[in-house]
Amino acid sequence: MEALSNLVAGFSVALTPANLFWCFVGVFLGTVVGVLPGLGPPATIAMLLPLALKLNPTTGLIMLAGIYYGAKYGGSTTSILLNLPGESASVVTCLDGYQMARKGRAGPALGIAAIASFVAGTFGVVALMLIAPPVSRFAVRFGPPEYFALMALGLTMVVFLAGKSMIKGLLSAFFGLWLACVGTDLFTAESRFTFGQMELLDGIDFIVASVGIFAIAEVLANLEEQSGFELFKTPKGIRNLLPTWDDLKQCRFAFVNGSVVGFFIGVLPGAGSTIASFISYGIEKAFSRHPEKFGTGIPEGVAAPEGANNSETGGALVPLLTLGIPGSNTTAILLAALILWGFRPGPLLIHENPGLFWGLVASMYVGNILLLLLNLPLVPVFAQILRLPYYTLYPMILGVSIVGVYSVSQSLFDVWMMGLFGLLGYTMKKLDFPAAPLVLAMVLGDPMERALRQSLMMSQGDLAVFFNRPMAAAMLFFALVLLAIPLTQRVRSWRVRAVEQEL
Amino acid sequence: MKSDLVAAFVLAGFGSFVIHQALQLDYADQFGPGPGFIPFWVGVGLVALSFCLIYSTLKAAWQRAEKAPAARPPAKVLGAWAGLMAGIALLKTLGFFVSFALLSVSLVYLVDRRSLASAATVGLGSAVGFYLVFRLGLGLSLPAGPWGF
Repeated sequence: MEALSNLVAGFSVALTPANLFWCFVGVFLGTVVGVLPGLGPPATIAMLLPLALKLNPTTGLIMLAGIYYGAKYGGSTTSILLNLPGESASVVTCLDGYQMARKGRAGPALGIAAIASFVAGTFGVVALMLIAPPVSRFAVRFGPPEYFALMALGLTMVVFLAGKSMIKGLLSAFFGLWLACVGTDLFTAESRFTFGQMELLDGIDFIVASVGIFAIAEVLANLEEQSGFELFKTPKGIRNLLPTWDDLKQCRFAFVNGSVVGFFIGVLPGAGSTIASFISYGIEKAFSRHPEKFGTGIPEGVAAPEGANNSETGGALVPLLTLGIPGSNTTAILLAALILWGFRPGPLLIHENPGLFWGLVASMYVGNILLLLLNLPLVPVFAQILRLPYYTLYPMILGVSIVGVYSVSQSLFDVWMMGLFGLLGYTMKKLDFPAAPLVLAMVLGDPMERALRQSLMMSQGDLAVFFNRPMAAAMLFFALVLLAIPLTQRVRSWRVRAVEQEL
Repeated sequence: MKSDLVAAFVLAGFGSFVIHQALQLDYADQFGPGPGFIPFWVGVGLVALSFCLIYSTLKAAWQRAEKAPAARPPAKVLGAWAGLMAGIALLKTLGFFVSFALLSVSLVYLVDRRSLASAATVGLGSAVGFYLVFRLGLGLSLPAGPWGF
């Protein structure tokens, strides 16, 4: 009952004209970004974050979240029409979606993708609404040792699933932790690694690093990988996009499977929507009466992964909004946005800012309806975006990046740093060093250091403080197990297979 | 393989530098860990993991006995990055809109090898678009050149 009355209050926030407008802008941009191969939600959110900071926090968060889940809708369009996933999460959709398009059923495939996204996206929001408040009430009991252990576990899970080589993932995380050390020490106000630069006294701005690593590096990498493609003809008219009654009947289990699997995988740090869609597709195939037909163009093969990657968004927001722990690149940027707006992400966030949380939840219901309305009739229009030559697009991405970074601090030094982070991000991509652990370590570095030092102060330097408290000990033990198990051949090969799917 | 070895040696050197710098800071004070505590262990982690990477790379190369080509960025990528940095360098002198137009023209013409007309259209169009959206629409303050924009 309490959740329902809170939701009603949330709708009064989400349905204001300004919030509705920015929700529309977010989901529209998200769909465009999802359609465009090579430009993902982390890069877009990082680029637009400085502009979102100028909005009211609830409005800004509604827009940024709209980009996040909107991209998942758009990603299916290129998978079905081009066999080219607009988003890594839509890789699995290529398997049956493209085959349906080849059989002349592109319209129903796009329609099923949109309906599955809507059903599962809505399920994800309902589950977020029901699960997040009790989780945050439970997490209020956490002290610094539990927080340190939780962040260490979250970071380890991201490293575990971030790249083929765990050593490279760990190196990336340690480099991120070093970046978080740059600036003035939290406890003693002593400067660290500032090399005499006044601009570094406040540390390296997360926006500068994330815009460089995601947006600039993505532009550089795309310049290298440009290739021509042939677009399937997009069916015009809503009637040609609607699946038949039989299609929907065939997909009923896939809708449920995608919704549930996507949400629970989303809660796990590091797992992400790609893994959610693969697992959901695998379950669908395993329980199907005709598994041999998967990959030949059947509607369940589109509904299950598309549902999972949309429901995952609700799951991924649970640790972010209840514990202040992001599990992916995109949620790390959303966390940075919350901090920059002056919130204290953690168990008290929902309690202290009910308007923000419930407004966001309600806006996600609204956003999912907007996306369904946008994606069904406007698919042919979005598909036209793919005809834009890349050389008209990337100067604009560079321009928005410069404007975004400069407008935060009015500092040209930060713009230079963004360029350097761009080269770093590109080099990491080339050398197969995953960016997610670096970004997450950079965001979690400060709170982790604070929690570690507070814990050791409480215990007067005795490390036993982490082992005498059962929850902290259990989380650290699990983190150590995650670091150790790839040493066994069987788990290592499973991990590499999972990561290859994610890549 | 070669790229991984180079990266590992660079990171090992960087980790040693971090340890050296951390040792200049207090490792601990009367209340507990000092400002040098975390950087010291981060440096140790970087060095240790770099040696693990060297070991695993050499082991893999020895087992496979084949040479993987070194990852080398193409001239197009380096050209685009250099163009971006040159554009940033010009921001203070020429202001955002002129340097952004020049950056766009040079990237499309020199890096992407399109016609000068296409490059000029993209450069001019995007600079005007940015002026309308960010300066007039959103009222953002961006670096201005001698002509006031």
